[in-house]
Amino acid sequence: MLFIQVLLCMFFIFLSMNARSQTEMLTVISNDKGAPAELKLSDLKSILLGEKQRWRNGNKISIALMKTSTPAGTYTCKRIYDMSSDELKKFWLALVFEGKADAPQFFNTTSELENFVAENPGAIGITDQPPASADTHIVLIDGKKML
Amino acid sequence: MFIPIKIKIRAAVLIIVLLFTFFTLFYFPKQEGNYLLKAYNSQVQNLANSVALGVKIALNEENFEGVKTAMEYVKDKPDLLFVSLVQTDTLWNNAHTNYTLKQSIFQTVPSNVHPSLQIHSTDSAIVKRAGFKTSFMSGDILLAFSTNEINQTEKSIRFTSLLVGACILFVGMIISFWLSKNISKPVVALSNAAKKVGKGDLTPVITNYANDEIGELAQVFNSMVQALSKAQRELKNTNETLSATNNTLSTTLNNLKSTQAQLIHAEKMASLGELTAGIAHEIQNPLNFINNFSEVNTELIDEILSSPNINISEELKLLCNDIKTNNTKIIYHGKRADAIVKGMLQHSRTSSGQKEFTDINDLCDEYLRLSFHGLRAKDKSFNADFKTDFDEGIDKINIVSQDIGRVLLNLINNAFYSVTEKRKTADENYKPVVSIQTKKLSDNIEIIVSDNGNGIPQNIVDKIFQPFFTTKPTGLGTGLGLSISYDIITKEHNGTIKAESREGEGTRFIITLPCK
Repeated sequence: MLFIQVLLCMFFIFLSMNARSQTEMLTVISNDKGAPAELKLSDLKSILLGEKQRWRNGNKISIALMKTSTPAGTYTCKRIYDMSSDELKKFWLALVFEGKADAPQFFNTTSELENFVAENPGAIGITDQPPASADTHIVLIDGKKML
Repeated sequence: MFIPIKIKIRAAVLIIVLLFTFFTLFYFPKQEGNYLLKAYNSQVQNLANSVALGVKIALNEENFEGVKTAMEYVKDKPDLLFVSLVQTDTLWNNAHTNYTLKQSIFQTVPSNVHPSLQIHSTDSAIVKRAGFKTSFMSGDILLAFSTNEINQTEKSIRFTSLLVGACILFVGMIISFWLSKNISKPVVALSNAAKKVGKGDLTPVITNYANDEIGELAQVFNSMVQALSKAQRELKNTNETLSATNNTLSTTLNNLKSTQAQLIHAEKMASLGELTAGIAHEIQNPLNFINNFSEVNTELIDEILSSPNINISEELKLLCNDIKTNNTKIIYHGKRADAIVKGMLQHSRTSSGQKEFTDINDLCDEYLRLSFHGLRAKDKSFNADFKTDFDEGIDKINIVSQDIGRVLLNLINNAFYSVTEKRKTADENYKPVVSIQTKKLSDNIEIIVSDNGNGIPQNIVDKIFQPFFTTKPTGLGTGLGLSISYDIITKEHNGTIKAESREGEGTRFIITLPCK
């Protein structure tokens, strides 16, 4: 009985860990005419902070993010921007206000995000799932598929 | 104060133009500027609201497109001074019982501008605020725009208004001159024509009148003047007729007055004649006694003086001679009185002479020569010229030739007497002339006896035909000649006799006798 309880606890712990792991796993996807196949994390941050406006091929960088109210969005703020969602909003507000950069497109669902990335050359998005569209590809960040 | 109508018109138009110019130059630009400013304020406010809304949406929905669009729109404005994002923080005290709001500039575009939180609109800048509130951030959008464009626009409007005002003024002046000319000219013409008509000149005619009320007035004026002229002509004709009638009446009145005077004179003369006859008749008998017995006395005295049987003393002879002398004087004066009485009786007696057709020219000539030679016979020193001017066209007239001859003799004698008297006192250049003239008139003949003697004073010329009136010295005239002549001409022959005289120059006696 005890053993069963322990197993059950370990199972739930495992599930939660898996869930947390799933949530905290971000995938960087890009349009085939956008980001290269691999990027450094620092470059990714630079891009996602609006410091870089265009890819090497000249295409304009369009950032696609999950809304900060979503788990992926929240994790994105934390993992990549190291900001709270409010801070991220303020950050982008300041940049847009100044006109220094175009704000990211925020999406409610992963599919919307993926569709955006697939349809916009130069688009790069942060999602928590591998892309389903053939027009997008995963960008390896520091050689890793997942963040 | 008389103000010409063209001045009034020009002044009125000028006032209107100036008012409009003032409105165009000052009021309109001012109002337009205010309107533009107000619209600009609204525009800026709308922009601020748009930005604030974009910020709100961006923060709430994470859709930054609105902010981007608004900012791009705002930043493109050339008059933008700055756009600031003001963050309002709520600061609670430690006990979390009280809080203060603190505002701070979150972001400003352009970044080199650092506006104050208390900034507000001025003449050179419009500052508008628009608030936004989200769950995690509240604040204001502070938007400032320069009013340069508005000011430039206002200046442009003023300049345009100035040009427009100048054009309006110019056009207004032209219109005023044209109006004043077209209105005042015909009015002045009417006025001048009316003045001329008022002075009696009915010749003015208004021409070149316009097709308006003034033109109608001119036409009516012309009609009025024509009617006046016609009325004046008719009045003139009537006046002339009345004047002629008046003259006729005046002449008739004068004739009546003359006739009245003549009638009165004739009546007086007739009364005098009757009186004379009565007195003469009463006097003649005693006078006869005086004359007769005087002659008897003279005869008796002659008989006494010549009788040899009567012895008279020398003294008695002297007395008898004296008596005889006195008798002679009595006889002389008695005869003189008798002659006067006879003359008076003759004067009162109507003529019983028979009328017969007589050549008046011959009669005048005969008695002229008779008088001249008679006077020459009496007085050798008498000398005077005489002239005749007879109208040969005069037919014989029916007169008592003896009586008319007496009249002529009387007048000619008086004429010769007058020139003789004047000759006594005149210088040697004086030539005494007596003339007699006959003239045939329409129904009468005229006999004029004239002389260049002393003339008759005007104060006695009306009296010369009165009986016993004479200007001659005593003994030279009875004063009955002209009176008798008057009666012969007027009563016996229905003619007229009048005297015209100028003292010192001469006298004319004018006799008119009817032809039939």
